[in-house]
Amino acid sequence: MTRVSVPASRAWRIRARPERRLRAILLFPVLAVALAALTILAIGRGPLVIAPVDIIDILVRAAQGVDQSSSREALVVLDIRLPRILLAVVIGANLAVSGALMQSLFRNPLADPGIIGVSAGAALAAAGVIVVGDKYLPGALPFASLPIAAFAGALIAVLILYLIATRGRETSVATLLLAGIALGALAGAIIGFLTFVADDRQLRDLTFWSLGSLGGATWDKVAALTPPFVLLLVALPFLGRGLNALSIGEAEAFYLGISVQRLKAAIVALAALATGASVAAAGIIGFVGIVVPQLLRLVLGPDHRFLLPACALLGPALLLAADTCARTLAAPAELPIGILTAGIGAPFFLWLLLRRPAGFDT
Amino acid sequence: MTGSKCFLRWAALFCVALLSISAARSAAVKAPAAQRIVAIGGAITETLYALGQEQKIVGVDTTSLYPPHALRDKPNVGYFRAFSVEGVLSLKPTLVIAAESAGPPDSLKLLQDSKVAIARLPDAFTAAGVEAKIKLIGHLAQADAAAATLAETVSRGFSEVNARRAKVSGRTRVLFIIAMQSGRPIVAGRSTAADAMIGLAGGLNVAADFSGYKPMNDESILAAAPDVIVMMANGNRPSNAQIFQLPAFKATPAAAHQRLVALDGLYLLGFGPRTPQACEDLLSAFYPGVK
Amino acid sequence: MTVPIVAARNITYAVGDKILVEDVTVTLERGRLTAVIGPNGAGKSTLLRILAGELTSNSGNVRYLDQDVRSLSAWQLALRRAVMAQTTRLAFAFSVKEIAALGIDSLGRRASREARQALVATALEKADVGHLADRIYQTLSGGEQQRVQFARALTQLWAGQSIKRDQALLLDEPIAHLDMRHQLALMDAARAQARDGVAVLVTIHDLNLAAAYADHLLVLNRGRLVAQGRPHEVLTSRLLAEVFGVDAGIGEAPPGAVFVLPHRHAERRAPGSGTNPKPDH
Repeated sequence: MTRVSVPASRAWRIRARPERRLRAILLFPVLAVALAALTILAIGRGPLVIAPVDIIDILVRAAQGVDQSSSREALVVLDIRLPRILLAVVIGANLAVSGALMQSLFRNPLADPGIIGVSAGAALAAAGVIVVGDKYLPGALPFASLPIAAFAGALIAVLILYLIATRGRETSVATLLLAGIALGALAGAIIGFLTFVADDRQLRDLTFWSLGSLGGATWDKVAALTPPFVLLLVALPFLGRGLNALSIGEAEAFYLGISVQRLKAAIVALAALATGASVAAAGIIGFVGIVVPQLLRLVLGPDHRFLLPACALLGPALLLAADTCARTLAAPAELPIGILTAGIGAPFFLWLLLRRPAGFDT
Repeated sequence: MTGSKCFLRWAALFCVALLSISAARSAAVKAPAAQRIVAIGGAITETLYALGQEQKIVGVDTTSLYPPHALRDKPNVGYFRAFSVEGVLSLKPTLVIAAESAGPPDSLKLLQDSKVAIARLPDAFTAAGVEAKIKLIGHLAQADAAAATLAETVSRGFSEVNARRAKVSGRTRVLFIIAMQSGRPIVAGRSTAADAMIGLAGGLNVAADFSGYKPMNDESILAAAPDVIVMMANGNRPSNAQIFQLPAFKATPAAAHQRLVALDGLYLLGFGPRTPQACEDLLSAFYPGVK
Repeated sequence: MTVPIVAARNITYAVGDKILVEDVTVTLERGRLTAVIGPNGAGKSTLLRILAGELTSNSGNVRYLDQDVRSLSAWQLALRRAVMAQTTRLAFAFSVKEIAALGIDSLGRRASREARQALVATALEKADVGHLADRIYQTLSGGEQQRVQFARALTQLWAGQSIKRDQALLLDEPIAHLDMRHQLALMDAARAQARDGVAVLVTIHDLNLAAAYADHLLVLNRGRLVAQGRPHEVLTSRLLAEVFGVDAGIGEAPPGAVFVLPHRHAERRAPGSGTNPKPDH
């Protein structure tokens, strides 16, 4: 047997480093520790300076069930910082994992969690509530009405796309993508029209909604986001194998014993729920869903059994870091978080495109 | 919004406006025809109505919400930041009066190129600015006498406000919320019309650490300890109870005393003829005891 | 005679009004290597995909032993047959080892890690890609990628063997991109699987290799099965002229083994549907 000899200098580039598995074993504790450290940092930092001792004291008392409602510091730690941190963790994980799922479904590393119409549907519903609801719905709308409408809009958009792309019992991923683009354009047109008829205040509402922010986090929002998040986490161990098989093609995945149609439906449903809930609660936050899976693929390789749980750790870490910056850098004002994630994400993304070796253009 | 700009710029603009209007007037002398004015900006429309010049208005923009029948009676040329040039031209105006922030610049340039006289009115968030604005609009609409009377009334109104403000001891801490979608407050910082109104009404803007309208951090709101919340009453604003339940507001003095003022947007931030009255309203809300 | 591992009866498959496979009845027998030949567009790959359970025929049925293919779930089918498709494009930078291991990840959950690794390593060696185990799949040549896919199919087959005997191995033009030595090596490996009791189906364009390796030869033309049987019975000058539209001599070297020697293009002959005897993609 003559073996293909690879020049030593090039070998490292085209070899999957055999220590991928070892890296995964090392990376998980590192990510977990980083997330824990960021959480501690985030709970300790804020425009209002609270001594670490007091924070620990507040947390311990809260754990003991002591009523601290009269303390301003306790209110800040327990009702402002803590729900916001949890929201960042949940949304970061939702977006990163959904991004990885969409990239596998579309077999394209540039797919974004909103690609199946989630963002378009949510934005359209939000614009509708802000502009039309303002005129025709009576009285004061509860704060929850906009997130609920956005969530419903996201799910309806995904459902429409899924029905369009499904013929017989088979969903065409290519149709899903194309119909998604068409639906996005249509939603954009309607949003454009709503922007046209909107007044000054509605415009401002629209703009700030679409920028995305974790501000206004409450325990209610955390509670509302928990079910889709838990569903996603529970589903993760059952998806890795199927997604790996899907990476070499739908037919091949079927040959390997994967129920492809069921897998596709599950991926779409999970990503729609998780992304829809996240967009509804915090607006559109870009790049977490693309950058996190990409970064992890570079380190761990594409094996979804490691990739998905790693996304569920790095996504929260990135979003928590960005949000802590968002609420402290310009205090007392807040930077829109989309600016920070995209500000970190876009240059990284360009670098990624530039260093991509030839032959990886799938 | 650029905030209160220096008086020099205001004076310069005044001159430019006068120049362009003198050109328009010389044309009017040759063929004496009625003025046809398009007003682009809510306060401009309001002022023209207050001067009794509404018969000269042939078009208004979507922000012309006062008096309420203005938008019903007059053709609408669109939103003042994105008005339609063709819509304006189709009304065959002899004069366009536009707010400083009207636009887009290309549309204004197009209007100029089509030989329509344009006057741009600067946004000046001061008492003097309002009086000057009234006089300028009056001059442009050939109603100098009415304008002088109105400016006098407005000036008197501001004096009364000033007199009341002088009696105030201690300063009420005010947070002005311009938007509150999904429970995320967007707050007026310094260099805004809202900031100017708070100042005129004797309050202290607790968000003066930043400029413009920005989202404010929840715990910063709590730390700022506002005594009163001011909002715009337009649209479906959240109820007081909803706002004071939010963690950011729960422990503020405003929540403790349920102090929240909601006023119409144009009334509150238009800097037009009704502004002294709006200041009075705010002042009464900030300092209930001060007569 | 025992029940065939895979049996297709009177299958017809059409897309719109275009009939791709028409009334074909074939069986894949235990221990037999069946080769499918035919010009481009004859329906070879479609037939293979119907047999694999990926496509459902409009009429007729496919049975794996005594079970209808439609009653078997994806994983039940995966235990009974492994498939190597023509071309596989990969979305992410998997390594060769990871691709081959996909065959066992889906099925061999109960096997120990060491046993699974050993199985993958053996499959890679069998396909002569053991030395490429840690390479990124996309950086391989077309032929190397094809061998990796073969290794994956072998892995799946062997992983399934611990649970299910009576398996089929379906290879769609497995040697299209290979050099001559690897063509022979792969056909050797396929025949070795047949000797171990697997029913093997290969679609192939090289008539000489088909003749040399097949126990049973199927000839498809325009979706119809026009001939089947032992290679030296099926391969005749007349069939080649009718199906492929070429004029070729049939030689018989050792008794029972035939070779095809094309010598003149048969443009003026009664045309078959294809005129290009070279492998397609």
